[in-house]
Amino acid sequence: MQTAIFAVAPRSISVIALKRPRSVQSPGAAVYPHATHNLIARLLTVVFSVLTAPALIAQPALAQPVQLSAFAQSTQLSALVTPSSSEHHVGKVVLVELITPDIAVAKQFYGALFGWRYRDLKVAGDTYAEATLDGQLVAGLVHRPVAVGARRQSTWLTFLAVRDVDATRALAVANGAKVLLAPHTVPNRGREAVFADPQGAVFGVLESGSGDPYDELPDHGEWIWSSLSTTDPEANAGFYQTLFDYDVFELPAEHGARHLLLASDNYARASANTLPANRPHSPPHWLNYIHVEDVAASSARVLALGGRVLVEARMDRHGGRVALVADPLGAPFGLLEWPDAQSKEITR
Amino acid sequence: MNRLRIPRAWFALLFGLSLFMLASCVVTDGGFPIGIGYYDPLIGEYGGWGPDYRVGPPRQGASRQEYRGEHTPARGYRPAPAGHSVPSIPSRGHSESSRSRK
Repeated sequence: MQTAIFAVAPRSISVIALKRPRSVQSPGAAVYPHATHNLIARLLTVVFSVLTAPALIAQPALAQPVQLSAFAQSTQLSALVTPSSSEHHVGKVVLVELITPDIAVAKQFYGALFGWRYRDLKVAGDTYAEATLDGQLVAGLVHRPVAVGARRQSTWLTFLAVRDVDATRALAVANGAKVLLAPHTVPNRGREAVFADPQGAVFGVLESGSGDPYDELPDHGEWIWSSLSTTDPEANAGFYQTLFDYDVFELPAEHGARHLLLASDNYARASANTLPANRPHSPPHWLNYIHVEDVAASSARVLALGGRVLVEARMDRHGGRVALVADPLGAPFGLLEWPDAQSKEITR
Repeated sequence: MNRLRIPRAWFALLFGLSLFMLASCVVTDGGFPIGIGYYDPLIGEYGGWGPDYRVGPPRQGASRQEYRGEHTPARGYRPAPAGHSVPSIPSRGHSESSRSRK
């Protein structure tokens, strides 16, 4: 009986710790219970700890669950921007999260490739790692098992900045999107949701509680660009323009294809391209690119670390090279050089 | 044979606490999911970019596609006004911005 109670204690404690009301919670969003319930839960937890303390002393192997403060702290995600900013850049890619069946392999791979360091968390039963570079949040890694026999592969999920997740949801649904993960508040992070656009590409939106990252050239090892490959770039551009009020520019493309640029705040945010003609079964998808100094060298490093090269290093429209690679679990992502700081802020 | 006698009040309290702890494990709308259990279909179809397939950001002032009658004009979106030049990504580095890096 006692052992059974101890077994559930850690999870219970984590849930209690996560139920604090947050300032970023939208009005009317009854996500977290009342303060009274929280207080009762804390009191009962204390009573429970006192009652069971003698048993814990007798059984050292079970002592870990009562390290309340340390465990509670490890369940808090970091704010998107530290220190908080007053910046808001609707339509900017502000977070990328990897969904992977083996977080240990993923951490080792990206750490060796880009120098990322990690902060491990246990949140609502999920294993999550925050990747940082020079102390700044770069990415989130989510451990999620794949069902036996399921023909699914790991992927990076793109989050775009919004000012109001719930309003974005209404707009997205009205324009043909499907809701994959309903709007919800993530303590310390903000409010987020995940959708499939009308063509099926999956993306997330994030209403950051700490503002959006500054518009600045990413360092090596940070995300620098995103592209959408889709069956109908024009219709997709219209959809995302409705959500994020993008300026849409058509760029030169090969015959029969469309290359569109999505921009906001006078900065390029992403491209929308026709899916390659020789990949008729490829689903519409977002891809994200890491800024590297040398795409060829990084591609070779990907291979050495157990990943794959899907598209060899090649010149792109910006005068630098780009490549498409996959990590050892199959998650595709891009590598992109930005040879110098020739880009400039636009004055209209 | 002596039996271990547990006061009923203690038993009730422990039982109640057990139920509460178990109930706390059930995350309904009080919890929050992290990320999503989404995986792409395993198709192995990424890539296949032709020689003119470009995905990267343009440089500032890059040329826009001009309508030459060989493809249909914009459909489904509002093109940026003709006088607007093509933007690029930010050029300002971390050290030049107000962002403080740890």
